[in-house]
Amino acid sequence: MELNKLSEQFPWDETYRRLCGDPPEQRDLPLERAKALIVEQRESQLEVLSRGMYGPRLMTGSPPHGDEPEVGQELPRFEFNDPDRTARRFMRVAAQVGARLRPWTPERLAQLDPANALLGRLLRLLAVAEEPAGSSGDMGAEWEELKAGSAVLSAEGEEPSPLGPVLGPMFTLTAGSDESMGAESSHGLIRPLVAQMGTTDRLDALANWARDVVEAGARQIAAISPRAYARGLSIEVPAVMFELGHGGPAHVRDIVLAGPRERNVDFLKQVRELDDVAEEETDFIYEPAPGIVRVRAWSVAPLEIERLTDSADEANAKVIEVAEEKAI
Amino acid sequence: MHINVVTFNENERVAVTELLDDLADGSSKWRRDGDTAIKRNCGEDVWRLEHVALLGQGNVVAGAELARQFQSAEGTPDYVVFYGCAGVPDKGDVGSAFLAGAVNYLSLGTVDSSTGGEKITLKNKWFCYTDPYSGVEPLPTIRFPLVRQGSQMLEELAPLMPARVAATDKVIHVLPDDPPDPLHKPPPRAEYESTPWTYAQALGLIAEAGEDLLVEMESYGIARIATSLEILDQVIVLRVITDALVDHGKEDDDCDQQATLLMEGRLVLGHLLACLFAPWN
Repeated sequence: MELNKLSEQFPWDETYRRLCGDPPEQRDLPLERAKALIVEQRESQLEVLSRGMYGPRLMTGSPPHGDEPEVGQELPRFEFNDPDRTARRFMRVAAQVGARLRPWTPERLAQLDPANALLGRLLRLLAVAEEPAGSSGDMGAEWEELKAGSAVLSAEGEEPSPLGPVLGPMFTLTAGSDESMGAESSHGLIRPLVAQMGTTDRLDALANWARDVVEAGARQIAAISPRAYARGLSIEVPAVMFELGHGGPAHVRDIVLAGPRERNVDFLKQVRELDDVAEEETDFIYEPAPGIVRVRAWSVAPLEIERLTDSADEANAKVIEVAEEKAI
Repeated sequence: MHINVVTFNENERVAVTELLDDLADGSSKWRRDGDTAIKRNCGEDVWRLEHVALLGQGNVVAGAELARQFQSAEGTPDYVVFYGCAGVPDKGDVGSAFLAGAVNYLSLGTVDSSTGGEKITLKNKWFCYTDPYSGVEPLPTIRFPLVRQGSQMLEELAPLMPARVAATDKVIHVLPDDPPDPLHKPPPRAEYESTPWTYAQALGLIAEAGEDLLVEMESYGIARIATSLEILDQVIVLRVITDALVDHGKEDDDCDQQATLLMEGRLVLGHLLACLFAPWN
């Protein structure tokens, strides 16, 4: 469209007001707008996930035959990406929508219908968990409310899941904390995923992949939940810090926390204030590598954790595992 | 919320610099954050808008810049908006603006000696299926999901429309022409004889998708890198149409026109940024 007509459609005064003015009061934030973002996120979950089924790799061998492709379009190839990576990308896109919902408080979102309120608040929580700490409010309480809300809707037999075909099973599995539920939770995902893909080829592989993605997503949500607690200044902290603060593995020397640097630094500062770790016994080295925080404590035996991961839980588990080994 | 705006040439740089000046005009809540960025508090959030002026063009340069931004230890942007100019087949579309909705890559080919110069052709296996099958998949069309049909973002940005982009590595001064007839028509798909194609034929094939066709030199590099980094949902490309593929004016006049249109287009860019920063309207 011509620029002059676009300029009429998008008057500068209005743009300036949105960009430069104060955000509206909560009561003036339109719930319809939040609802539209939430509904779109729910409806696009399968599409986002199915994009994770094509790696950037080029296929070799004979080309598949299927429906008419458009020019140069990638055809369904069922080259499944790594489930952890797929789940991580899915969660990042979800958190991105959550960031757009940031202006609406959880209380304001709660005024939506229960299904959209639940998904909207979860998306927002995912976004907040990725932000530098300091402005999040009581996210631990929010987490508990979401779990309770999800349980209520599940008990009422809400089908499909109000959290969507992908996030729903992930969150259910997280809330249930039972990995054996993985296959069951992902079961409802198979049919819509097949419909999304428009093929019934390699169903077994698809089912296994969907289960693995749901389990990976559940682990990632679970990793977010204690962060939410910590950000609410609760004593609930990631495992390794809990161990440190309460007489845990005494032979630990170096502990590496993966994840965004700002969040970890802030978190460690909180722990230092809250726990009884003596000042001289703990040394914080903030940047051994981009995005990584290293904590040095109780240096009895040297311990180097070489392997850095994207998951704080995984890193913490590794630290404890190695620490126990050293202690023996 | 952190948003980076990336520009490629001097006229684009000037236009976006002006936009940041418009916003941080001393009376607003925006304040300077270094030479190329502004920031403000908005409720519980901090908004930061940074302008990255590449003063360089091409798929590789643009893709590399995107990769750099997402490798930063100082935090990654929530969105990256590329703002630049583009060419179109129809001179009547000059002075318009489009979003890059989907992009194909037209570049891989051959340069041969020819009478009086060199002859450039494209290997069609990189953008369509051939018979016999070449053994490689055509490079895929990549769609920018944030502005897919039916998305909330596209609804907010209406009547700004997504277009089909043919990304090249050269300035193209030819119009789309009919591509060769396929050896096999769909279904399942069109397959063509494996022969060298001209840019005009390749543009003609891309134009068959039925969307507005833009020609520029960055979006495929951006989309391909964004796909690999899995950040495609965080990228938008906004193009102001400053040139027709043929029927150019004098170079100085074209440059002045480009500067004027890009300056006008910054208001559209401002609206796009408002939709990202302040989604409550």
